[in-house]
Order: sequence, then C-alpha cells, then structure tokens
Amino acid sequence: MVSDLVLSRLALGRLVLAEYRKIFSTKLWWTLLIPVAAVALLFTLAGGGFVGVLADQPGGVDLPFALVTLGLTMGFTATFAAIFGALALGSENRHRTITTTLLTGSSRQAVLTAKLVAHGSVGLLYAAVTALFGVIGATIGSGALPSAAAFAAVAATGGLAVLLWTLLGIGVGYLIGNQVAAVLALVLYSLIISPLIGGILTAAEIPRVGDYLPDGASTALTTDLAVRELGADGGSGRVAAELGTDLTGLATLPWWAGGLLLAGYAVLLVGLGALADERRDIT
Amino acid sequence: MHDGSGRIVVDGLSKSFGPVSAVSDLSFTVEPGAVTGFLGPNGSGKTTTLRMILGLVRPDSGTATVNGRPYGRLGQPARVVGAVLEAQGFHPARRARAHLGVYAAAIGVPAARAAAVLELVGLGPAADRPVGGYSLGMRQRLALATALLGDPQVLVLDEPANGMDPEGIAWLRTFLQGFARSGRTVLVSSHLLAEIEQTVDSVVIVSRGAAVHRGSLEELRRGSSSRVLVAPSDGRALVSALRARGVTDVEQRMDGRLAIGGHDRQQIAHLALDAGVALYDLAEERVELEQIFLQLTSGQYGSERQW
Repeated sequence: MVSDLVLSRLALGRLVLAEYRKIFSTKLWWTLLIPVAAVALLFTLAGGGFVGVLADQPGGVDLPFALVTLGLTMGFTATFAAIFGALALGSENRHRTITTTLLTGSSRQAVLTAKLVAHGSVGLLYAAVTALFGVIGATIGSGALPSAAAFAAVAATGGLAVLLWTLLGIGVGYLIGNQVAAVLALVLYSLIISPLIGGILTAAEIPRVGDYLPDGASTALTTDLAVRELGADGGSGRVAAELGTDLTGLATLPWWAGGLLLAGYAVLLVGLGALADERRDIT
Repeated sequence: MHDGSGRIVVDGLSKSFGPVSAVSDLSFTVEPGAVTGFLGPNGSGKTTTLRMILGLVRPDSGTATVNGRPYGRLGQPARVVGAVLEAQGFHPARRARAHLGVYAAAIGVPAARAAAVLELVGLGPAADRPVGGYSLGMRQRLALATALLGDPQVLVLDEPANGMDPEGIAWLRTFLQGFARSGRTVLVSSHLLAEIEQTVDSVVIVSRGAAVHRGSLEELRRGSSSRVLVAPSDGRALVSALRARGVTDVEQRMDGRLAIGGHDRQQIAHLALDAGVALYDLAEERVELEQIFLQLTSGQYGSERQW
C-alpha cells in the first residue's frame, strides 16, 4: 500500500512536469501575463496619483491607497488566471492533444490533478508578477507607501484569490470542454453577468446577495484587508475607508469569509468538471 | 499489475452514440507475435472499438482488456500500449522535440528516448520545426514516435498509412513486421484491404460494428470457392464433355479462357484428356481478396444507417 502511494505520487510528479512542459512550450502563458503586468503597473500608478490629488485638498489625506488598487488589480489578474485555467483542457481539446495526454496518463483524475497543480502554480506566478508591478507602480506614484506587512497581507490574500480563480477556471474548462465557450463564459460572467446581477440586486435593494456570488466573494478576499488598513489610523483614515468601500463597491464580507466562499465555488466547479470528464467520450 | 501476455481481448463490446449503433457485441482476440489487421469500411466501428480498447470511449457493455486489464488500470499504460490514432493532434506551435518532451515526462523516460524515437521514424532533421508546418505523413511519423516513447509491448494503429507516401508505407510495413517478430503485438486498422494485405498475418473484419471474419487471410481465401482457368484447343468439345459429366459452372471469359467451378486442376486435366482436348493453359483462378472483403462487408451502405 505504501509503495502504491509512493508510485502514485511519482506518477503525479511526472504528469505535473508534463503539464509544465506543455505550458512553457507555447506562448499563451506570457501573452496573458503582459496585460496582467501592464494593468498592475498602471492601476497602482493611477491609484497613487488619485491619492496625490486627495492629499492636496484642504485637510487632505495622505494614505496608502495603493493597497486598495493592488487588491482590485489582483481581481483583474484573477480573470486572466481563470482564462489561463480554462485553457488547460480547452487548448488540449482544440488541438486534440487530449488523446495523447490521456493515453500517457495513469487516469483522468491524475491528469486533472496534475493540471490543477501546474496551472495553479502558474496562477500564483501571475499574482507574484502583479504584486511586483504593484510595488513598482506604488513606489513611482505619489501617495504614502503602505507598510511592508500590510502590503504582504494584501498580496497574499490577492494571491489566494488568483489561485482559486485559476482552479475555478480549470473546472469551468473541464465542465464546458470547448475552449472558446469556456473562455467566453468566464469573460461574460466577469464583464457582464456579474455586474448586471449586482446592479439588479442593488436596484431591488437586496445588495447583500451579490456578495455571496464568486465575484463578490473574490472582491472581499482581495480588498477587505486593504480597506481595513485604510481605516486603521482613525480620523481621516475612516473617511478614506468609506471612500475605499465606495470605490470597491462591496466588501461587506470579511476577507476570510470571501476566501472560504470562493474556495467553495472552486471546489464545486472542479468537482463538476471532474464528473463531466469521467463520462466524456474522447472521439 | 498485469499479466504481461501482450494479448488484447475484446469481449462483447457494444457502443451507441445516440440512436446510432457504432459497435454491437463485438468479440475478438489479438495475439502477440503477429500483425493483426482490423478491417472494415469507413463507419464500421473500427475507430470506436480501438478507442474503447484504449479507454478513451466508455463501452455501453462488454469489456476490452490489454494484458488482462482494462486500459485505465494498467498503471503506466504508455509503457504497455502505444497508440497512433486518427484525429490525434499536435499543438501547431510546439516543436516535435518539445512535443515528445511533454509525453516523455508523462511516461517517465529520459529526453534521450525522445531523440531516439525521432531518429527511428526519420524525423531527426525536422525535430526543431513547429509541428504546424508538418505534412500529414510527417504527423503520422511523429504520432508513431510518440507511441514508441514508452517502448510498449503492444502497438495499436488506426489507419496509419493515411497521408503517407509509398516510401513511408513500405517503411511502416517493415517496421511493424519487425516489431511483431520480436514477440510483440500489433493491431492495425484499415478500410483498404490492399493497403495492409502484405503486412498482416491475420485479420479481424468488421461490418456494421460486428465481426464477420477472424483468422488468416489464407483462411479467408480458402473459404471462397475457387475456379480453374483453362485455354482449351477446342472449347465446344470441352464444354460438352463437361456437361456430359454434369459440370455446368462454366464461364467463357473475355480472354478466351474458360473458368470452371467446383473441380480442381487435376480433375479438369483428366476430363480434358478423356475428351481429347488439348489444354494450352491450366491455372487456379486467384480470387481477389478485395472481392471477398467487399462481399463480406457489403450491405453497410445499403442499410438505413447514415454512415
């Protein structure tokens, strides 16, 4: 039994290495990383500039607003990471490499697990690049710099969100199968469906429901700590915190609740994807 | 893990896609040490059967095993079975060497093995070109190289000659026979009998998802009635002598010879001698396997099925 376990771990290691070789032998991973890095830089630069304007007001505030923009940027990165995740299987279906992948894998679950590990870690790379360019943007831009600890905390919760969205994306890719449809579903959800649901619910004066949808949970995870940090020093800080809440338009859930909820969505979609995968005929 | 026999056993396999029955109650065994042809017209269920053997398509009923185990329970399947399937793809931007690197990692063989199989199939010079620029024949060679990565005991090939040039087909034939001669198993499908006639030791012929013949091509040939071709000095005299003996299966051929059924060459020679007719030519008619194959599989297109 023990040797079986060791063997299956070895087998998983081999499949993870195969997934890495797939990822890094084509352009997709870095073509998606370009907008991620660019947006991280521009958002934090602009966030700093915005604070600079605020600080010039009479009785103005000089606050580490870059934290909130970093949190929001992580949300943007998460969308790209989810698309990257959805293409884990989508691209294999598109190019029909899935046949060879399954023929050389010990089982379909093993292949899925390897994709979760490999693509998930590339998702974390996306988050790290976001944090790096976020630091650069915040440093260049005006406004107070956040403390290293606060920055690390926001980067960590943001990184978790990006990771969970990558896994969720893999689940969506497995559930839908077709790469165009899977990417379209993710993009439509983040750009249209989610804001629309939020708008309708707000108009109907039941805004809290939106907080429990994946986007709401994700924003709580990425921005809650940043908004709290803004409110930490009281006085003008609380004003800014309210401002932060308005800007983010959400974050009624604490970050950990948002994280648990998003993890739940990721588990659900990966589970549904795995079920669909088991039943799928590769013709 | 598995019995190491190299035997493929298909037992009572059935599969329908919606209302269309692709394979129905199909059974056959593929033995090691020989090249087995898997013959049938397009749409007769060959590809579906091969994909069920490889665990890619789930059968509605029945089982398919390699080395006594279903594909999904072989543990390290690519070290047991190598497969070249139709519609098996490549990422167009990936170079052949990188493609093989991916699957070498999955199987757990060193990169040197990838280089070795590339040389084996003659793709060494093209190893660092993106596969998108490959011809169909080169893709088939790369698919074969991928199948050979794990040094498998069993090879399963679906229409491997598609897109290959005659030189490639001849090379493949020699390769498969050598592979089988080393005691390993080869199952190769085709819809053209002529294409694999010289390669295979035995055949499984399917029509409409069911087996219509299992065994050697020789058995297939023997099973059909053969005729004797003669060029008599006096055709009329021979025909009336034959009639007198009750032999009526006689046909006048375009080339002037008579085709006589139901008797072997010696009997016909004696009959001619008794009738005082000289025979300038006496031969067994070589029955075209293709004809037998067509007879066995006819009806496929006469049915209500769409394919």
